[in-house]
Amino acid sequence: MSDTVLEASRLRVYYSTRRGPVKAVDGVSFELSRGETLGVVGETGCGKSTLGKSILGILPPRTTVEGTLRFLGKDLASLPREELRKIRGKEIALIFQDPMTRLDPLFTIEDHFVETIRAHEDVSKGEAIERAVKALASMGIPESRLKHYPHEFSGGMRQRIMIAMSLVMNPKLLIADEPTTSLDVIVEAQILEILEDLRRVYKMSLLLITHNLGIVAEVCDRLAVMYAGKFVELGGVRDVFRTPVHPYTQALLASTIHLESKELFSIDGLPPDLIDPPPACRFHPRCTYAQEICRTEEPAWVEYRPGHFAACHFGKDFL
Amino acid sequence: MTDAILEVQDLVKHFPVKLPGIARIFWGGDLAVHAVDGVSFSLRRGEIFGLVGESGCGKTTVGRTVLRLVEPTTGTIRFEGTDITHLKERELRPLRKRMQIIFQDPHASLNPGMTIGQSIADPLIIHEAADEKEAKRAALEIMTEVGLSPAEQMYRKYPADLSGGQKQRAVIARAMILKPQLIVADEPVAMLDMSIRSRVLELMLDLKRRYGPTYLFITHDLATAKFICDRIAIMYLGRIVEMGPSKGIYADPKHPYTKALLEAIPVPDPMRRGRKVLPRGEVPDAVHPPAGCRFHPRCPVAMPTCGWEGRDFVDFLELRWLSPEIAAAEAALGPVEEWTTDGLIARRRVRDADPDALAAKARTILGDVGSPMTQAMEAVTVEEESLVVRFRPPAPLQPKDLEGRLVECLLY
Repeated sequence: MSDTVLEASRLRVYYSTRRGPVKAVDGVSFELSRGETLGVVGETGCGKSTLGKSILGILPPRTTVEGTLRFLGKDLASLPREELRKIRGKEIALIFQDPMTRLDPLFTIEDHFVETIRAHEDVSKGEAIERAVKALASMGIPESRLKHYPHEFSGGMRQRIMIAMSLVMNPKLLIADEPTTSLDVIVEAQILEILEDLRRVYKMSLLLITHNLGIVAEVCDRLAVMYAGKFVELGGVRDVFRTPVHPYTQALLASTIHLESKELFSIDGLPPDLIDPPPACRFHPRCTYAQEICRTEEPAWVEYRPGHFAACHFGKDFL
Repeated sequence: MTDAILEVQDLVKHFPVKLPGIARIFWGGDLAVHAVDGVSFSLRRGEIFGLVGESGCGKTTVGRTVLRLVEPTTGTIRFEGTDITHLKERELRPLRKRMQIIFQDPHASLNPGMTIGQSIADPLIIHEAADEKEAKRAALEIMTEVGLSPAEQMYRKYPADLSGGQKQRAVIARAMILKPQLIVADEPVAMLDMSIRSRVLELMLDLKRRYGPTYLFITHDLATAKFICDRIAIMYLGRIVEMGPSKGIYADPKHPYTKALLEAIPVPDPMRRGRKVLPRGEVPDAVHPPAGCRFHPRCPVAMPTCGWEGRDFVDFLELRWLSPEIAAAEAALGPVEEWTTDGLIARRRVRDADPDALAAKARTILGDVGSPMTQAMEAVTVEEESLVVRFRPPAPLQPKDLEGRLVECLLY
């Protein structure tokens, strides 16, 4: 049996708008193994959240999806609705940036859990509550708070509740879209440790979508750097952080302000419009190394060392 | 005479919490959020002073209060030597030209119905510092300086046509056009993408070199603060816990909270992964801040004198599902729900059990736990059919001078 949990191949997601299709994800391929954490990094509007949503099939109507997404070998697009519904929320779970907007203010935490569990499994209410208690306890939330409403919790607690709720089904794959962005730095570190433990204990695969390279360095095995709807680099975190091949990855690393930053660095220009992205290499208008070929020819996806890929005409020069 | 441009003394800001009548009777009056609870600092002319802390620590309230956008509850604010704490709006007006603010969200800071140029020129017109023609000329000039070029073209654009980074430049240009002495910058780069953040920070540094304003830089991000601040103050729940030159604080943080904040920042280097020592839980409610040092319930190095009180005891029992010892303690001392607290005291009514035996048992159990909290207990007694746990009052806490900085912690 293969260890691949998720496999995306030439995935394209185009949103239809009056001005034309927005190419939010434009030909993305990757694999995610059992127990592995893959970070997807990029700036606002690069398509990283769309990527996460497309895996769960929760895109707005009239969105075009091409390419294939296989989950445990099954092509998600060809599955009947009913079967897809069983996978979604049970085998693939999602946690969002802002937990408050994902919890219904009119229902208690217990209601949320009971509904989630009973939507997927034929168990009694009592059994569902018992599982909720255990899941919450593993997140450090006491049973006494089951009857509370979402607004009675702090931001960090809500995110723990969301995590507990997605884990109560024991998913194979967890997609976390900026799970700590609205949290303070200490609570962020606490949540990251929880995610790390879950992966270790349950061998769960994690797709972590974030703009924060620090988080990627701390919890991911591999990372993919996304720019204007495409992956520009993919590899093990150590390889990519030590020898980033793509100039965009290099620039992103240099522009991250951390405690040991020696100087400020910023990338000139603006991210492109995804309705009409630049031709060939999409980063060329902002790239300091760009040559004629970058404007005319799309760079190939080259494996520079085992498992370390990038799409840059001059990738070799940066090794 | 000092060269301080802004002096803040014992600043307090409490926001009342409106309660329905019945709750008011129960709590004995209205409650208040203790947003800022006795904060003192001064800004030297031309420096960048960072006010750093997590959400809800009161940093934004301090920033708004020193500009009198929010009225202080008590304390004094002196701007360029003048006490402005109680100045009337009419008297404040001429001073307002000299102090400006930059908000976090550039999308919400610009009037969508005004062109960028109009927004930037507006302060000159409002303060009658220039006629329209001069104002426009000045706006074009500052727009070029902040990198909104070609200025003539950008002048006519509306906020909706600009990116987040460009909008923040426009907001900075508008704050700078009056050549203010003091700029309060409240999380000016928090909403911007990483690749743009540096450019906005550089712009602020560049404008400082050119016009020499003093910045009060409010941020939750210690890494950014390290880069641009000369001195910083770390705030926690309405108090400054550590304050001094940035260099020293980053090289050798003294306060356990400062240490925790620094430790928690993700390091963009996969070679340096490791388990972190993190404080427990989250920032408590500012309506009832903890006694003594406000960080004590989460502090990894707390001592018996740090301010333990009745609530901490109940919180301790709440942790029963995390540790078998605590679960055993809770089983013996009675369910958490039956305990009530009042300041230094926690109590639970006991009816059927032999109270003295229970008290003796409680003493043994709590003695075995051996945490700073249990060591802070003065007595476990039986009073009027209640099991009472009483704590010693906390040791007095004062900011202390330590190697050129102020630290508010009993360790020192």
